[in-house]
Amino acid sequence: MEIKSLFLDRPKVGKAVDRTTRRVLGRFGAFVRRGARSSIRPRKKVSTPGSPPSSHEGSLKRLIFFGLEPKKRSVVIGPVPFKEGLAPEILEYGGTTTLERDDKKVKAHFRGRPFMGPAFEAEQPKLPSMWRDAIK
Amino acid sequence: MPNPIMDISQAVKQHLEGLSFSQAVQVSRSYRPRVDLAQLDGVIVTVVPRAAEDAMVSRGMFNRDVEIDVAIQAKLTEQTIAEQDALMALVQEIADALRGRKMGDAVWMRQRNDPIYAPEHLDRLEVFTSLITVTYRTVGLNSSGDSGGGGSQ
Repeated sequence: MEIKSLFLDRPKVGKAVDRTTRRVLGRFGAFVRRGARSSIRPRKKVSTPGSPPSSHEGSLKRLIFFGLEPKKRSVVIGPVPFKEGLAPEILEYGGTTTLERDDKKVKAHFRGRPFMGPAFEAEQPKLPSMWRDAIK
Repeated sequence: MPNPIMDISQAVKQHLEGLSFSQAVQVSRSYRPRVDLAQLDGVIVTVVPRAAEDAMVSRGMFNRDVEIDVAIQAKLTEQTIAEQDALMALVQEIADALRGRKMGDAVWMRQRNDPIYAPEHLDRLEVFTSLITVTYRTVGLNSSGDSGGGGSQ
């Protein structure tokens, strides 16, 4: 999926989603993206598993976007895939991948360093559901 | 048989109805609050029971802590800081009116104002919503017959 086609200022999105929905979802997406970006600290040190990853050269922070899915009327937030490898996915969830070390392929396991999940949780509505849906 | 959840809800409603605040409020009691946005006019206060928890205090007695939600809601007409400040002040008045006050036999235990206002309602509906959750404690007699103690031989 091409994330650019889901940006809020694209005519296709503008036609399919009303202004209020665009505003609400766009604001939520922007807040979650900001939370995720600011949780990724630029530093040389490797982050501890379970906490957001460190930013060594800035790609991960730079490649976090959000866009609206008109059909589902929902917002998609997260890093776009890197040209090579599965770095964003493995950082978020942990997992196993193959690395090249001295022309040899080595299997490496990484523990997760979630950065999107916590940012999403932090922006979740604070009202209990009974009150959230009380006004129709 | 008295029902503390219903009794406390009703007592809270009556207590708030009997007071005057800086803005006129319309108090009601509900189990499933539903408001039509088009008909939301002025400030509405809705009293809804939220939860109850029992705990044994002795062989024959238990405490029942009842949580009551008091929601203050108003449609914003001007969307100015002054309008929202006035509503925040009203929330404080209502919280002050509930704090430390017995409702019938139920003793006030604690209350929290969370959220003090709901951003999602402000954004989506231009409605101010604030939620005060008050916990009251009643004491009851354990009639289950199982007192939990050891019997004598």
